[in-house]
Amino acid sequence: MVTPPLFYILLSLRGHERHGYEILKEVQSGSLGKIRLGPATLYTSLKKLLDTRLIQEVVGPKDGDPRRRYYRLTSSGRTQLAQELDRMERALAVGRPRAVRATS
Amino acid sequence: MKSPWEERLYAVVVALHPRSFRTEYGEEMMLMLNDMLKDPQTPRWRIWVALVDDIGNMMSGGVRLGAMYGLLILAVFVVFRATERVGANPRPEVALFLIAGIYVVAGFTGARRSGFARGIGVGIIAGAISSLAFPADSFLSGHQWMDSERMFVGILLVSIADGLLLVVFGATVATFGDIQRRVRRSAVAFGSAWIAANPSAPTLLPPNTGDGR
Repeated sequence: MVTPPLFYILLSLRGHERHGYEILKEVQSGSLGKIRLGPATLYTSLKKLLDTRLIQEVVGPKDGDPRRRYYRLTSSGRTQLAQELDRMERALAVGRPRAVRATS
Repeated sequence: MKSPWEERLYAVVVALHPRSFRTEYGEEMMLMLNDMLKDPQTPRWRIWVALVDDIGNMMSGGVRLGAMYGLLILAVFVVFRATERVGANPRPEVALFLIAGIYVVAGFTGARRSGFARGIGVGIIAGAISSLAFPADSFLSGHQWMDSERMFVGILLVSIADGLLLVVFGATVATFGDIQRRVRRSAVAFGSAWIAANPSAPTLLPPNTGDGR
């Protein structure tokens, strides 16, 4: 199980390779503003994901700023993300009917 | 929109991060601040709230630990003074011994967590927070430390030096094995370089007789 910031970083990289600021914005909008990362927290998280090989660094677009680093999911990153989403779906399936019954 | 003072300020914040992290990500962090400042959708105050929060996240472990020890020192001091105030006769050496012990433990645990320098950092934070003992003392026992500036500065300097020594002692004990290894490595490197530079100098090593033994 990954922490919420790591989960949203993985989610932001689904299907796209992105640089740091794009990831930061995606995490913010994906979490509906609940998770706001600063640069240091973001790069610490990215380092963790790189160390665990859930993401990898890739060469950015030719017309991009050469100082920027781009990241994308590895196959184990995609698996981890799928597992997390699956776990959340199961939790929702279990929890939502009960929550609805409790409020009605 | 270019904001040099904001970039300069953030460069200081970046410089406070560990060297390896700074080398790896420092430039990108600066680039990210630039992106944030250029983003018209993000108000300035929100950027600075995020950055302050970021600093808190990066430092929270050590700062929390330091704050805890600082408050503990303060508590020992306040209890000692309060006991005095109610007419009891507490032994000052017990309070001093406890405070000294807390400084050593602060250095030790900080260094155990993340190295010698961070151990010292934890001790410094503990010391900074425990300096609230001065106003607490004025309040509890009526000591007016600021009445004599020289005495105040003197006591402050002695307290800082004592605290620092104790913290360094704690951090050294925690990282003793590591320090020993570094000293040994340096000594061996120095010895090898010296022998290489002075091949004719007498050595403790047995002479090579060339018979393969």
